[in-house]
Amino acid sequence: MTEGAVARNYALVGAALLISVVPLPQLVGLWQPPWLAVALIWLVIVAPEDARLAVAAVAGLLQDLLVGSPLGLHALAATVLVFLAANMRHWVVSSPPWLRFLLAMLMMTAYLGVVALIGGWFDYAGSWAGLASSLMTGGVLILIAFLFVRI
Amino acid sequence: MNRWTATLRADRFRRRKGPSRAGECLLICLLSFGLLVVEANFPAVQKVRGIGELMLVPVQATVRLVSGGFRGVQGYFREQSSLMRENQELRTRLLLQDVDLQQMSALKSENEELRSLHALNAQLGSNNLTAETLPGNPDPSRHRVTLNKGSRQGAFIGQPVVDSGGVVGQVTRDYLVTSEALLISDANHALNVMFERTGLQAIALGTGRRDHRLLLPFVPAHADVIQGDTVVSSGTGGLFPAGLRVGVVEDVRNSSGEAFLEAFVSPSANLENPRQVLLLRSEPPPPGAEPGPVNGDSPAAAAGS
Repeated sequence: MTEGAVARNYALVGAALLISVVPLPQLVGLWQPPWLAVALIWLVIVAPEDARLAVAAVAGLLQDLLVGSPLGLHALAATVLVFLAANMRHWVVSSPPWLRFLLAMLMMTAYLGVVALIGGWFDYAGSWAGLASSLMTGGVLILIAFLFVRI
Repeated sequence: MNRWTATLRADRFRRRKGPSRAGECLLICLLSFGLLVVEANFPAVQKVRGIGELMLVPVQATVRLVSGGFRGVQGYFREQSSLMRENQELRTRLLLQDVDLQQMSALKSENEELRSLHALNAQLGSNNLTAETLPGNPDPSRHRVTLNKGSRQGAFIGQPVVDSGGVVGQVTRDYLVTSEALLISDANHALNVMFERTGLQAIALGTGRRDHRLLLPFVPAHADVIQGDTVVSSGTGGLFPAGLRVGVVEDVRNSSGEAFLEAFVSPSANLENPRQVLLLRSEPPPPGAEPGPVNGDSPAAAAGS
């Protein structure tokens, strides 16, 4: 993979981080997909060499700083997500589209679950409705990505 | 084929490196969890967090700036659209209020007319018959109106019709529940009148013109008639009571060498669009009574077209 492609992939993660801090009306904000999770899943699928756990941890840490969540929360969730995605990647690429989508949803659920559960321990619990809506829009985003890009 | 082979190789490689990846993951997870615990229990770590956030201030500011600009543009269009919608609503409301206002104005005018009619009724005697005109004139070349009172209600041929302004005409046909009145401006109508100021008597002929003017022919050339003189019914014909206002002299013409003047009178009553009128309760003329040739106060002369 060329350096340009690597930079582009990391820029995608950076863009996901920036988008996640764009102030939105509450109703729209509830439906905001987990941008970082989507970007990381994407990165693992299309460029597994660049999807390092350390990168995920740093991105998660930056998200913690940007959104004001407890330090380490998103870092932990992103690390778990990338680990899962990297280990499930061979299933993802060799599966039919519907199973591919389900696997991606499973990864995203794991990410959101970690954020919700660990965040809950540290008094950073979001609403279940927000979690569900994030999962739905994240799923839609993943679906669009899988439809338009060949793996 | 090559793509699949490469993928499998990469995955095999990844699986071979699985334990170290798992270890790395475990380490990072522990560090992250530790960070969470430390931050939750040691407030001093907040300072470290503050430094980190300070470094991200430019990023946050840029994001806010971009999103603020975007919101500004969005707000501008939303405001435009909202203003247009509001404008449309206000226009509709204005239109409705205009219609209401017009109705109010019509009602006010009608109310004033009814009040005048009521006063006139009291003045002429309380046993008169009020009537309203019905829309439509089957023969536009003639000046006549249809009234909503007929012989059943007491209308009869030759009955004088007046409104708050003055003489309107007389009933020329009486049906069971409606009647037809010929206006004084109709070309076939004649009415005995006199000048209120001088007492000079004359005959007011309808001209059939659209401006409803009346013609007073054969006024002696030496007579004192000026523009603005009020003309009232003289009562000599027997149908119209004396003193009912007929109109105002608008124009006086005297062709040189002629022994008579011609005076044009503008009617005082609303002949253009009469609405509420009063049918004066006088006795019907005895059957067989023949009026004089120009005595417009007779029903036969008026209706004989």
